[in-house]
Amino acid sequence: MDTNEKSGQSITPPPSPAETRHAIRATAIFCAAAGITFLGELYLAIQSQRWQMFIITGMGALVTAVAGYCVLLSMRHRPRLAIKVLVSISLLNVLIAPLFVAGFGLVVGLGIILVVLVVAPQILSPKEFNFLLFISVISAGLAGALDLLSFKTQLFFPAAQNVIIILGALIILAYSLLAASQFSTFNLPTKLIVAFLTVSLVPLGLLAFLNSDYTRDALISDANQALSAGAKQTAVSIDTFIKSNLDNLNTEAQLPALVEYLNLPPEQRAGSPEETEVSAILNALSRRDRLFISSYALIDSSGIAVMDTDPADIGRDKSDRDYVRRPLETGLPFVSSVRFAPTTGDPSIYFSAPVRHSPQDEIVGVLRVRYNASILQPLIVRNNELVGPESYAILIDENHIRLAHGRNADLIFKTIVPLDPARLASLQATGRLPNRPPDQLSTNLPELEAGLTNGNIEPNFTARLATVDDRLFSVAMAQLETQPWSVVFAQPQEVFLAPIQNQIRTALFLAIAIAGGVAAIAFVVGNLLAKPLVDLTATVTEFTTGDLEARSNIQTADEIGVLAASFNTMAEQVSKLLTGLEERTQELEISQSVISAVSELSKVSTDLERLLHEAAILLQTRFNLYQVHVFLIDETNEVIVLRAGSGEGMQNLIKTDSLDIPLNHPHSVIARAARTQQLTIVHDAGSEEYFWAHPLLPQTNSEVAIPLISRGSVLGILDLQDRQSFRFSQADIDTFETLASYLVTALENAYLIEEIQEAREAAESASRAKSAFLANMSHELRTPLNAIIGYSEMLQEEAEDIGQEEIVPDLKKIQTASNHLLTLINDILDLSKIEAGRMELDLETFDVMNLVESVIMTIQPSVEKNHNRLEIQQPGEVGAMYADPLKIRQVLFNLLSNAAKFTQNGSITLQVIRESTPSTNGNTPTDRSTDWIKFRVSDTGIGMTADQAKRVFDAFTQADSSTTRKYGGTGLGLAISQRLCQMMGGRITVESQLDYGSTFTMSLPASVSPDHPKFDTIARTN
Amino acid sequence: MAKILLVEDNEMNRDMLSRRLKRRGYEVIIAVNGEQGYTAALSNRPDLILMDMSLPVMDGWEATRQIKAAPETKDIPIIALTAHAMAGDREKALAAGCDDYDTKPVEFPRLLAKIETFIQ
Repeated sequence: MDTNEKSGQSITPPPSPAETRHAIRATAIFCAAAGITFLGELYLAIQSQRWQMFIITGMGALVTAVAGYCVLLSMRHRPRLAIKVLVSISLLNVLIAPLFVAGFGLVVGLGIILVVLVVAPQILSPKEFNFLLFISVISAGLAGALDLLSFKTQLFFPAAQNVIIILGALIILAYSLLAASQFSTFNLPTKLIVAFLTVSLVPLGLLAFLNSDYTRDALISDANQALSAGAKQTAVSIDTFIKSNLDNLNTEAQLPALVEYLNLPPEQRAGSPEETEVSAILNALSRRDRLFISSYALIDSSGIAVMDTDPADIGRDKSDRDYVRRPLETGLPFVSSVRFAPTTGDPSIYFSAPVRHSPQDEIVGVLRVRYNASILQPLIVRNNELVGPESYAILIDENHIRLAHGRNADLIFKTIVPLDPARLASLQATGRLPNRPPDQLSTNLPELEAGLTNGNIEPNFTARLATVDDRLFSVAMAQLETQPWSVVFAQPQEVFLAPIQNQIRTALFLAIAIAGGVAAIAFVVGNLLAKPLVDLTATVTEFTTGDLEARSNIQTADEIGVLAASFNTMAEQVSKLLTGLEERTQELEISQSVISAVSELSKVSTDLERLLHEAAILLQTRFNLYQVHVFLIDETNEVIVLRAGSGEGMQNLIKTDSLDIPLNHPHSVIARAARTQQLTIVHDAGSEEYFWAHPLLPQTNSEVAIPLISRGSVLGILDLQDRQSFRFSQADIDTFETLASYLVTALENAYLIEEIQEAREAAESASRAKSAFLANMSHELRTPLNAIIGYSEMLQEEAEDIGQEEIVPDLKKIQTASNHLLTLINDILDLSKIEAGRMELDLETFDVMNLVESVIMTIQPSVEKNHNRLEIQQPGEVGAMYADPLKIRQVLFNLLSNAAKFTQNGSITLQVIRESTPSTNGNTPTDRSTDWIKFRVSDTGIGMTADQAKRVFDAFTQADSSTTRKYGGTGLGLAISQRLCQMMGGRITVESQLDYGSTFTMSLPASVSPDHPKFDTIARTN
Repeated sequence: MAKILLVEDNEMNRDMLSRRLKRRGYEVIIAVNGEQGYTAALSNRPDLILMDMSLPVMDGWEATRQIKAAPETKDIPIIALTAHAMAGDREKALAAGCDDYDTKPVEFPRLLAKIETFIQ
């Protein structure tokens, strides 16, 4: 069920792309079909020039335009509106069309039902869809009824009907296929309705069609037989008329008076009694039919009319007439064709018979009677309706000129189809056609002409018999014996097929009634059948979307009821399962969160009291327990001391200071757990014989005590209590044990950290003491040294002043020793500063060679003292560097003074080089390409062994102890120099050969990084 | 003759330095702590002050600050003398208002050179 329907139309979900696509497709198909129909209608309208067709065409144009607009609407994502507009305009069309053109309504009505079926269910809500379908079925029925009621304005237009039926059938077929292909997408009630309608209407339609077809064949066959009989009968009556006339005339020709008169010589005839008698006879004969007999004549063998009831003709020569020549030649009576008499201009038919003179039967003359040809008309007319309503006969001669017409006398002496002018002229010349204009001498009925031509072979055919009456007639033809004429008998098909129309009408009414009934029943039954399923589906949907309480309340005993009951059972189980799972998950989540929280706490918290306290609070609040405590065993290992806890009893415990439990308490669960080192649990305090209920925790009914064991000894107890008996499940206990293990770890860590901290504090205080000692010592040493050096210098000056120069060398020795001591103190101070990480770099940019020159100036006296030469080499431009110039000066001075000290009468070379590639022996902290500045101090001095060279940078090391005595120095210079270089990211390397000299190379980055390695890095690299 | 105020608590150093300065022809006034140094500076208006930093009663830094704060004495150059050869000593002395700095033990020729640059 669409829940939006319940809450009203205001909240309509936006159309999905699939809906929009579907709507575009359906409306486009409809638009195309309407367009084609419109073109067909337009063609028919122009052809027929009927106003009704123009109205229909206009409607077609309107529908096409609206359908096109609906396609646009669909494309603009308003498919629902598009479908509604489309169906509305179609319904309008369905209701208007049958007012004007027959056969339109039901076809379009069925079409609209299909359109709704195909287009609507995917797009509209079920309620809207059902409404539209209902309206469509009603409209289709109404259209069918309107169609059958045949309003006066309604045009029966067979050609249009065929087009409509074909187009309609095509549209219906297309939409039927579409509907069939989308059947699976219909909702259940729609499916049932469609199935119902299909099952009831298809057989009905098929049956009606077969039945009407059979009836139609039978009726046509009957009609043909009747018409044939009628035609034959009419032909016979004409033949009878002619034959009787011929017989009569033949008999009358034998009247003796006639022979006698003819045997008179012509000059005796006038005024003779025979003449009087003959005249009387002819007049008497002609009076037999005053209306139609226009004259009786006696003609002698030479062809002269010797006597005539028409006096004008007496004495005229008729020897060329067929009715004279033929009896004279054959001796048989004769009947002429119908022709216009040259004398009267009337259409006439002549009968003649020879007059014989016995005993030799010599033909002496001819008796002839002239009938007006309109004698034939009543003979035909009297057979009207002979074979049924509206049936009539037509008499047609061998030239297909109508001689008599049962329905319309105006057509007499008109040919069926227009004749060519030559033939027409010839027929007029022989008097077969009147002298009228050619357009008054023919009709144009080719079907009839064809039927007549073919009549000898197939006497039954169908044709239209008048241009004004476009009804189709069944026609039968019969030949006359006495004349080369034909009689056709015709009857409109609609007359004798009227039962079929009635039958179809009945069938249609029946179909509409059944369709309506079935639709109604289908609605009811479909909804009845489908409603439980729809409800059940809704319930299942609710359930699957998360409403675990959703249950079906269908109570029927059928399969759906069983299904609903099964679903309810299943839903119950699933719901229970899910609820259980949820609870379990929740518990697990709580456990997890507590565990991870405690674990985190134990990692970050070094404050043991706080950790234990927070762990207790977490456990108590998250598991909703009465009390949670953490006890630790005191140093005496006799008392268990409460160290942290959470719960309402905690305050009381603290207030009364009853926080300790003796380890040997016989009934305390906590003491028991501590003694046994086992998890101890009391599920139900009331049933426990020796349960020691703490007076301040009276509500405890279940308790778990978990020993916190580390390396085999109990550190404490995690104690959990609750009011509820049997509160603790195995899962809970597992969680508590995990937590206990965390607490153990935390305790171990805390104890360990305590130890480490104590150790570190001791170490730090020792280090601080050492530094202070060094600083104080150096200060305290400097002050007396200051005095010693000052006084010895002063004494030297004064000795010189008073002329006691002999004590000056001794004073100088005091001064030298004092200076050495001062250097030693300074070096120790430097080294201790470096190792304490307190030596700072003072970085600045300076010109390297300036620094070198100033160092040379300072060192020059030392160099010269041992008679050495100092050479400066600068292979390339060195430029500036960024470093601590004082430190470099110190190192360089140290290297040079060492070289000067250990070289006698030799040479000392200082090479200063800038290298662009990373030094291979450089200790680069990064891999970036840096400029390196190298100070290489080479001497030709005493040199070192490889072993000595290895240890030369260690503190208090000269090549050997004797050198100290011989050369002086503290043995700290190189150690300090190396460390200073390393602080700046560089280092000093040494190459030496005993007795040949040493080369010390100081390599420094041209740009020293401020984040120079601290003491620990330096210590490691050593 | 130029007048130098030597503020020094250590008796031997005081004696040695004053004698050596007098030998060079300077008139030397003595103070044994910062407070005395300040008073002596005010009353005697020396041409230069040699100030030990680690002094009792009032230390050298405070004495320097007070001398440099007084309008009468603020133009007298002060050279700090200290046994604290640690990093920052120099900056600390200059920040207190000293005009120059030298470490103990005093390298006498260097100290003389410094004195001469100020007294000229």
